[in-house]
Amino acid sequence: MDLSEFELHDQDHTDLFGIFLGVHALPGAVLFLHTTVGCKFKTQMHLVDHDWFRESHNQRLWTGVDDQRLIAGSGRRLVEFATTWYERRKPSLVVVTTNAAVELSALDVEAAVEELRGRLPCPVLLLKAPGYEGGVHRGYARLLRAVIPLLEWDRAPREDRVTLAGYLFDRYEMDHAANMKEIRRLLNALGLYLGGVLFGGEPFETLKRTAPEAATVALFPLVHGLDVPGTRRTVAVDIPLGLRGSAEFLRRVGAAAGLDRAGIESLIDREYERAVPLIARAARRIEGLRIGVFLDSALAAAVAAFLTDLGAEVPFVALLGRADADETRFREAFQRLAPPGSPPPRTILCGPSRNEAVRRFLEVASEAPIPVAVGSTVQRLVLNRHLTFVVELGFPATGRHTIYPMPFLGFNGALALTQRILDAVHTTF
Amino acid sequence: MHSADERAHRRVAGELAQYACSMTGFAFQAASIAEDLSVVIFGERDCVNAFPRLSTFGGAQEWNFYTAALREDDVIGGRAEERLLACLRAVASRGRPILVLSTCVTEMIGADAAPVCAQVEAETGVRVVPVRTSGLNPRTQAEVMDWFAQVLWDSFRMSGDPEPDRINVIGYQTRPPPDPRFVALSFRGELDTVLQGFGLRLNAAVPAGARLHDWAALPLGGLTCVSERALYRRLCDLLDRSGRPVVEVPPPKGVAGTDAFYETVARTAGVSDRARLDSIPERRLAAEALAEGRARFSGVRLAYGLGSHHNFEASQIAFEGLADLPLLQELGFEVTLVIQERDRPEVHERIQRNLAALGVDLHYHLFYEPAVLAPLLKETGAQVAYLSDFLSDQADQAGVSLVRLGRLQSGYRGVPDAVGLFSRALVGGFEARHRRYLRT
Repeated sequence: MDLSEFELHDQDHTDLFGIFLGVHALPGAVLFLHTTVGCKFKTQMHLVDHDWFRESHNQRLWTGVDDQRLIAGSGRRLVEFATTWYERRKPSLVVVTTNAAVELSALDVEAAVEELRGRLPCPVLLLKAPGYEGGVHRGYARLLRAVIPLLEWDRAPREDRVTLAGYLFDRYEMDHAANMKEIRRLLNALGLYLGGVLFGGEPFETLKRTAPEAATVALFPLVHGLDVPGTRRTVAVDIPLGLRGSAEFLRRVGAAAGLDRAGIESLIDREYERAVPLIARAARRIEGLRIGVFLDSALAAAVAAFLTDLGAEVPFVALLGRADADETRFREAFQRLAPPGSPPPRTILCGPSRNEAVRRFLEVASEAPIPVAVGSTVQRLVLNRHLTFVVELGFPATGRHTIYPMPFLGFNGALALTQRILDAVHTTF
Repeated sequence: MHSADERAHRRVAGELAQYACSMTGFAFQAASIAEDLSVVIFGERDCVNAFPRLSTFGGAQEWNFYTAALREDDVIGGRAEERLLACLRAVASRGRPILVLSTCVTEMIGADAAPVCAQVEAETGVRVVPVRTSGLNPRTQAEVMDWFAQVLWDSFRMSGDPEPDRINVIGYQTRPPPDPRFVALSFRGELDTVLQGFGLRLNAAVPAGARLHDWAALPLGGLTCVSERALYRRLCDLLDRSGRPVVEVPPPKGVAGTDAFYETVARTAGVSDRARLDSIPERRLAAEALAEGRARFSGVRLAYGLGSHHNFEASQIAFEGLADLPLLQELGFEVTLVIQERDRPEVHERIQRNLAALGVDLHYHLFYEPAVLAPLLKETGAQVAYLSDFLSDQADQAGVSLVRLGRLQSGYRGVPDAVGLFSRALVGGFEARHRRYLRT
């Protein structure tokens, strides 16, 4: 069997970490890890160096399962532990996860969760997370889908409100804050207002009200196909990154909200008039530059399309996430977002192991240098040694923290990302 | 403090730190020698997330950790060993020795890695070592560290006679700095220099900064110094039983502690020369810094955090995390302990038993989880805290400056370093100057 089958990936997370990340993005929620002790380290240890602004330790509680409790039945322990901690913390949402070891033995967990639902005055979700399968995105989306029915959908939707679903909010730093501000700015320019963001760091208690108040729900790639209760209009969007990606986002959301096409195009035109002359200064330097991409499929498509728009060559793309990588979706999104007729990247790896991605990248870079890559800390740690400078955009970004608002979405995000690529070209970080 | 033997009878090392999954513990430690081994996690894919990768082997050209990536069908259908066999045959192609770590799920289903490992070893000639780790029975970090040491001793130790002038050191801050140009500025460099002055040489330093070779070379050391015998009880017994002398020498913290450390090493090795210590320039600088520190810190209230750390760092687990106490007390701090534990009679018994065994007579306070430390810090009136770094938000909320637990260095160089650290912390940096603008 091929060694790469057993090699580690950039991230080997299964659903557990995605669920945890969703809880981190939902203040007021707590996660009870009804697992054996090592699972504690599958969660906050991976986030703590990525998010400097908010500690995640206090939203994650281990229920203390060990062999004796597995043999005797761990359900009683879960009930007692969660009840005690509810009194101390008064969370607005309780999420319980289990791992494979607990699943194999603890037949009383579902009954325990039922009991908790009767005892606690807040919703209690059970999301099993055996470590065999899934991924960060799937886990995050599972939590999101489980939260949807808990929102107040009986509220009257407002025509001028747009809720975003499937936004991957992984830290409380100013990049995400700036993304939200940029999306809000663009919606306002269309006469629309941002409702809730699933998830965007908004407390669960607030989100319950704000998300359902929107008549239009924009579904990011993470939750394309999501069913939303009631009469809301849903619209699948790509990630609004780069000039073309941002424009396409406005077209789709605007159309879903019933806006006049001419008004949308007028706004896009104004944004292009502002951004293009500035980006053009950089594009002259970026044109022809070879840039590699190591990102999840949806983000990779948006980034590769934008780089192509800038005139860069993207000879190598690694679609990360063992379970989440999807080459078909990458190619389709790239076709939608890149300038018409742009050829897709020559080398596309779908869900490669970390070693395989590095090996293949270095092979491609040996044909002609690739001085810049867009990826995560995983690439930065190894590729900087090979004189490829990594613009950290994905997760984790432990070498990239944002204390000053710098979006990567929207037209301002296109400017900021161009700035970062330019800095990488000149290694003047 | 009591003698090593007395302490060993009264306590179990690591009882006041976080308990741990032994697979996690083995992987934490193996990560530091991952250039020399392949490590296979015999479990579900997610189990490889139970230990850090970026801060350890993240920058390596090739990651030498692998997963058997058991699927649900493998577990339910009794094919876990079959999957492991395929994995080990592939990993053996890399030619490095292989450490195979079991996990909760494989222990639960009784999957036996040992025959598979033996088969692959016979087929390929590559050493394959199975270890029945898991998180089903949480253990002290010290126990896992000692077990790891025993596995390396049993599997990889060199043969050969010990040489009297070669010294092993176990459980100290011996990690060299990332940039080899600065070795001379580290405790590792100071230790090398002082030992050479005594006509001795460093044979192996483990676990901090060790490669597999260091572990393997332990039998060649003529004298082994261990920071706390209780921390590596089994390893010390193995050395003892093979006729290799072991002496407990508490970590070199503070001027007096460092004098005692080097004097004990030299005396035990039969080369005592106190005058040589007095001639070390770093010692003079340390003594000057100590006087300055005492003038500045005498009576300053310091909260010393225990019970939160989980990093398998021997220097932080030794003496229940109190190895830095002599330095802090030498500097004049008035120390109070804040311990992450629940307020139960059996917990108090355990804490009091350990503190008594260590000869530590300090007040302590408990906090049952990180989120509730801030009010306790205020209650203690602490002016500065020495805590695990992830508790920094709690220190911020309490308005208390923080020095990260484990940041204090060993040896004479550690004294001016500590004085500088605490001086900056107490004067307060940017945050202290602008605290009224900071949200708490």
